[in-house]
Amino acid sequence: MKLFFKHLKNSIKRKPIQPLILILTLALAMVVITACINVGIFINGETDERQVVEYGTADFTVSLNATSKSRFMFSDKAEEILENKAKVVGLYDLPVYFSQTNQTAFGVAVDFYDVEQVFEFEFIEHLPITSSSVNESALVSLDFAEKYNLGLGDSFTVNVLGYDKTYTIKAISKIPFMGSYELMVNVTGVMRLLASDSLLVSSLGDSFKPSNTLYVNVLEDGFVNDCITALKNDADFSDKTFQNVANIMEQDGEIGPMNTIVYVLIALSLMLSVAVVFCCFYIISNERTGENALFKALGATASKMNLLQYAEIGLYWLIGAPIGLALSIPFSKLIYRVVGFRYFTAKFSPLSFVISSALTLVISVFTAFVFIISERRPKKLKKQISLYKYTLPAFLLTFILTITLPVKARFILCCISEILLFITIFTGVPVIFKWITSVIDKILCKRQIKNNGTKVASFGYAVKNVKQVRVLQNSCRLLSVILVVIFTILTAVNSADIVINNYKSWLNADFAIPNSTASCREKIEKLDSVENVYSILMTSGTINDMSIKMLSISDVNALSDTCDLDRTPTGNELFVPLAICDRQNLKIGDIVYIQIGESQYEFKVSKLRKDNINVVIFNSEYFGLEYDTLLADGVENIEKELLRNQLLSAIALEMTTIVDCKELFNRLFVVGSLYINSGWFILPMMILFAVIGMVDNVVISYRARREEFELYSLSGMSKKTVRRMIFFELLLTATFGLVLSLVSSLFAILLLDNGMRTFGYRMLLAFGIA
Amino acid sequence: MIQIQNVTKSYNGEKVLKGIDLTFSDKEFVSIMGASGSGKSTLLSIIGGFLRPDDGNVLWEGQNPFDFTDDALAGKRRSYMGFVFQSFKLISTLTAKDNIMLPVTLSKKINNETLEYFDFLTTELEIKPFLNKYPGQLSGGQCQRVAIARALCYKPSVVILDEPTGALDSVMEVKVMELLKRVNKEQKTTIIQVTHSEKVSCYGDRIIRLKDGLIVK
Repeated sequence: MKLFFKHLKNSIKRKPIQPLILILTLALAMVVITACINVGIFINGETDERQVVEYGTADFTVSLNATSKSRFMFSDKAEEILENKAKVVGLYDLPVYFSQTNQTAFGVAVDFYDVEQVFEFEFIEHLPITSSSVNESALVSLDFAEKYNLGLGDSFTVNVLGYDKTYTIKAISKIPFMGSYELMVNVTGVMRLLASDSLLVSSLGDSFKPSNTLYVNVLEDGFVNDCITALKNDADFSDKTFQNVANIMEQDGEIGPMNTIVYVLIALSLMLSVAVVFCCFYIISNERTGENALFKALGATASKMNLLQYAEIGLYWLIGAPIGLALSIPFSKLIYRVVGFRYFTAKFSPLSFVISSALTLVISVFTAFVFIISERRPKKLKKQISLYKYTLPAFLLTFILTITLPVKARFILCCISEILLFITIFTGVPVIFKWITSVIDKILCKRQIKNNGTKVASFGYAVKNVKQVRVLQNSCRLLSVILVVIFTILTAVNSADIVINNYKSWLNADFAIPNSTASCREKIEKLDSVENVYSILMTSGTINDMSIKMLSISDVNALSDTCDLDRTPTGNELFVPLAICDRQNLKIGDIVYIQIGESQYEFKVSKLRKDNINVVIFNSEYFGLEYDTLLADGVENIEKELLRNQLLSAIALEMTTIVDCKELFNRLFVVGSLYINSGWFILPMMILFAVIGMVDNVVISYRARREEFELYSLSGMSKKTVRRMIFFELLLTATFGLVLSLVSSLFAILLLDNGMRTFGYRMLLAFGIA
Repeated sequence: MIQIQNVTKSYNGEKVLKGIDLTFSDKEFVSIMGASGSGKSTLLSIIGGFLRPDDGNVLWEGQNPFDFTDDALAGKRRSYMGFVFQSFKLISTLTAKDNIMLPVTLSKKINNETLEYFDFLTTELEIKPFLNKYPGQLSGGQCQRVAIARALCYKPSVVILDEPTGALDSVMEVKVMELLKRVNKEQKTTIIQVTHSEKVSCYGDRIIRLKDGLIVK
């Protein structure tokens, strides 16, 4: 064995560039795979942290709705009903604005003494709050402090519910409170403002601590439903909306399908890595075939030669893995910074490095294994080359099944079909490329005879070389796989981006006023700055155990042109987007039953909407469900800030707030946006890896053919002609690779689109952009 | 005419050629002989312009090939000089026919005359049946004959051959040497060959013997 390792050492010393390139390739593969794994870890971490920030330890929330008779709730009343089996914290939405600058900040009023029963806060810096200063103390977010150029201990005056009040900053938090509030004040201090004008408030004194949302932390496990039932049975809470926190996170984040996207990303990065590493190693091994054959002819056993192959690639992995690890850390930090995580602090899981190291080792061993098999048994080599003859029909069959079978089965079939497509491209491209160049060669030869060969044949020799030189066919294979992976990811990410942007511009209004009343509407309609006011109901329902978002609108103009809608539903009509139809196997005329709240309603599917907005549209009035949100559309050219302030002034005492319509959906797609941002970051990383891999491959393959080019020179071909010949070889390889990958990408994307329908997603085939 | 003036060459400090002076006239058929390690192949490589001597000059028709530009040298290689290497040096990705026609194609000289000559050479060298095969599919003798055909196909002024009959049987050896003799006579091609065989060397007009890097007088 010593002799064999000496041979390996000398081989590497003789041609060090090739091993260096392979080590670099393995390192970069590890960086890409680690990045994909870390995206999943970061996003899951962000989701968990977000839940803690937005809901604390709350198990469920209680909030007002349009049918609620009273406009506020009391946390101590709730605790009384629950017989102290739960801790209850009440929040009161409190927009404040700076009169002089006309800017609005979104705040919340809480009971400072109680809030930490459910929520935990981390402050960058803070001052002590005493009982005498509690009502003049404000806790602010870092964004707020920077925006208004304020620091710890500074005072500021704002208009609160129509009254001017001065606060002193006693603490600065890194992130907004409960995920969305810029400042937090004590509710008693706010209510004292109203006391002067309200008999009710003044009579109740400091015990008047109203809330519009309650956060309930059940102290004993397993009693959440009992607590909800107990509150619902009380007259003060029976007309309120209850929401289990776990359900909110599931609907908002749609964690399951999003995690699937991460696995798809990891799988694609693996495919890319396998292709790049394999193709680089192919060239190195190809050169050694003669040497290895000589060893065997001199008596070396196959097992010794196999061990040498594994040892060589193992050595490259041992050097490449630490380099990959070292590069992964800054790259992962960059992802963390660029993607925009708000709550999660990047902690690098050793697990991600272990997994990516293991995966790159598997890729390396697999690569060596394939060459060992190909060298050992010529018959199997033939089979290997012809593998595409089996995988191609299998792929076509699974492709047809994926697009025709019921939606629930499609994702698994999609995965199998994508793998078969990958194997078909990998094993078939060299053969097809060779065949096509043979045809071109025959045509050129005939033309040469006809024309008495007066043309310099640099293109002709390029065709001949491509036909025969396996490393060139190998380069074409690599390029095809790279382009298919890149096109697929680009289309998927772009598609998701377009969908989310469509959501953001879906509502045809500037602001939404949730939990609004008729009185709100009257006040807003009187404003000159408001052109249109629409009423909507946004709710959620369950259809066959699937949670769906539901929307009812008073006027079709409430929605923009991105929605495929020409009228509002009448009666029990239901307008369903295609993605939900796929998942639920619905067609026009079907009767469906949807659970909304405690009741079940019968609907008739009347329209299949082609837009990608995953919300069903129905007519709430038909079922006696009242609209709960107003949409206010400002007049043309009005400044948004001005409109916002006018609306706030109008609804000051309505115990509600206003939300920018674009931001209304932002919260629903926080996690989705993170995935898309990650996708936009990982994509250039993959492209860079692919480009480096391709360049490496070309460099190695041309270095390996130096002797051949010298022979051309010796035969009288000028260097210029040799260069031109090489150019044509690369052009042929690139053109064929591009054409084939475009065709294959179409299949891959169609497969992915159909596969994702299992989760209720449809991809926009934004292929042109890709 | 080819002139070698006081050429020396060393490898790793060891002198292989020690001041060689030679002149090859037009239409001459010269055989270079010597024991293994005497410097024959080195001398041939220097004459062919593949190896630069440490000292001395090589002149092709009065011009030093090492002073040519790349393009000019390439041009000379496909018109003035043909070379048959000891290890054949066929391009593995081209068929036998493509290998033979390569210099002619590069010179844009494919015409009826060259095609006829190609036909003649391949018949004489008995390589017609496997013109469409690749070097990897040919035997050593077949490769050698293809290499000879490649060197002769474009009717160069000088043909240099390194052990041209090393892989051939005695019958084919005679055929090849007869062909070279004929080319030398009819086309007035200068032929310089390195050989171990006394029999083959006798086909030449002159025999040069090398020993320890020097010409034996």
